[in-house]
Amino acid sequence: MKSRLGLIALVALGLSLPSGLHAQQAPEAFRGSGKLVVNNWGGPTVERMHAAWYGDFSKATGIEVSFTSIPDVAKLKVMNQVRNVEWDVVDFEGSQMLLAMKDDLLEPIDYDLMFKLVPKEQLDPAQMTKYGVGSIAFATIMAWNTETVGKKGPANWAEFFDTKTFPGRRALYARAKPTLEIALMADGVAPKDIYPIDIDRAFKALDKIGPKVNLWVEKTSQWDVLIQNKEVDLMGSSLARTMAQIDRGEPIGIGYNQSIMEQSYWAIPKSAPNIKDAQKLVAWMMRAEGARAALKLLPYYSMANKAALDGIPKETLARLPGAPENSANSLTIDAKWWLENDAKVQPRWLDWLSRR
Amino acid sequence: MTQIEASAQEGQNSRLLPDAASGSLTAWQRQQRGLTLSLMAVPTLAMIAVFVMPLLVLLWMSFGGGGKAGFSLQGYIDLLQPVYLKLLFFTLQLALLTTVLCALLAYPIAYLMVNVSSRFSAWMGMVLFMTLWLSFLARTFAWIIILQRRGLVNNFLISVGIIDSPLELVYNKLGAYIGMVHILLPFMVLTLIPAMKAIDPAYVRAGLSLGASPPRVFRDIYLPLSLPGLVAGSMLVFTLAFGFFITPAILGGGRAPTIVMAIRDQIQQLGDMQLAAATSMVLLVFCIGLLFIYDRVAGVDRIYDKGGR
Repeated sequence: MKSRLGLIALVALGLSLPSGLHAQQAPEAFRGSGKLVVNNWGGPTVERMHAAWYGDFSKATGIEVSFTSIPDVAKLKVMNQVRNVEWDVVDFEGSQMLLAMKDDLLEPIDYDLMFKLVPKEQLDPAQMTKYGVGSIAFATIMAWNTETVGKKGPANWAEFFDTKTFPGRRALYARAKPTLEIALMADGVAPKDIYPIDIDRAFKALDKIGPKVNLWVEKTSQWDVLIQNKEVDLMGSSLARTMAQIDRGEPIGIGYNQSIMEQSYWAIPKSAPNIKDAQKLVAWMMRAEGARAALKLLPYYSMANKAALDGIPKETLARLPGAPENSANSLTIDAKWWLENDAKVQPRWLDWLSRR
Repeated sequence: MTQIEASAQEGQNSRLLPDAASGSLTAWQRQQRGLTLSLMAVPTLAMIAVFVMPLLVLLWMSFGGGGKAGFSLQGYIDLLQPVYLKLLFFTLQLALLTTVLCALLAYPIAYLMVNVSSRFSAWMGMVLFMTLWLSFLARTFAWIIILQRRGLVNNFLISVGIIDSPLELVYNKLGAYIGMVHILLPFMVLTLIPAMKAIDPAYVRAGLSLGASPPRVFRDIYLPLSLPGLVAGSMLVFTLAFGFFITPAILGGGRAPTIVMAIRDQIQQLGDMQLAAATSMVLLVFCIGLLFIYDRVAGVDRIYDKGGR
């Protein structure tokens, strides 16, 4: 643990130097001496990104940060019940945050404190909610093997399932979300008209595309294996995983049209051990410097701080799902719709999938 | 049971717990009983804390305990949707077939390990144990490398000219079975070995010398004597297979959805603890029911007997 913290501190130090915000300059309101436990999705990618995000937080404020994984609302609920909440800051997916809100598990974000550090106008209002502020947006995109499918792949989901133009094996997530959305877009529904989802129509559309899907993917880590082994030719895959494989030299093309974005949020559990310092860290992570450093490391995510895009090289910008030209025709998951309808959709989805 | 065996059994029982009905206890017997009871207190308490309490909490939750809506049968009513029955049925099928396949494969392996030189069997044991050290996930992904379309098996078969296009060995039910059998096989082997070791080779020799054919000796002497190990191993493998999650999820390629995946979604996606608890209780009832049937057919009490009876 210690060595990892050390490494993060080292990375943080390296990143903080050009940022211009030095240790001595941390505002008085941000000083502290406590310890924070951040619950995130784990793995080397997240670790690197967070190291960039946190920047010199510990050094500047005196507040220590350690990490655990993985965000789980049910676990938080139980921890809350037995009055032993271990997490100070959690990186929840949108629907997880809403689920946690339903059970009254979250503490409101202290925006007054945040605006002392980050100019309000830099932040995307759509990502600032009462109980959570945007952490990352991850994307599901169309990807294809350029050796078997060709340089030019499908331009939209309808083309994606056109087996005449694009013969090959296909893979999608074994989840209702975002497969229902994909099925509807393949059926000709425009991204802006997807919600509220017409469930019956979605399942009818699923029946049409279902036979064309050779493989249903359970875990995001499977994309690496599938791409490296050329197991499938076309996929609705995780942008981050696919980009990582492209950077390794895999012959993969991707399209941003009708990509599907899902917003995650930083949230602070109610009865977290150190709410006060947790608010400081959440505010700290909204700084453009940290977000920019994270984007340079891993240009696969979109950030709440729009100023982070300033000064990002053009070629990096072209790969960001949140860049204006890439997000023009994208779909953002409606977490609220899913919270309200998942109990209805889930059994039907499982039933549908079990007939494959 | 012969007279001698019966009296030996009695002797064993009285050694464990002195018979109170016989009235007069010697000081030694009283002391021994006190010792036995105090030694049993710790495991009994541990059993209650670790097994019984969580089950009771789960039962309580399945009726809405700890939730906002109060007590209700809603969890069980939601479970009546046909999809859950279907998943339960498939999970049962998966677990049963996995158990049978494991038994068929493990039996000769265990037989070999018991009967070859101890050095060779130690090596076999090492190899078997080694697979237990690796994580489920790592082994699951290893199977993908072997079974996928451009995997070892398909590449070999194509290069030799046996097949033209790759076989679908993974990302379907077949893949799920292969992965499950591989992961659960060591458990079956390891429970079979002691049962087979306890078989007195004199019985087999006697059978052969009295003129029975080797298959007959196996059927009438060896197999019945090794049955306790087979019963114990089957129950262990079945129970583990019933609750298996990650291997069928990945190797099944979405085509082997089990009831456990439904429970995961109920907890993580829907946050419906009551439904998840109710599903778990139904699973538990099914497992107990099967255990009961198994007991009637094969006799669970055999597990606790010595092999040689």
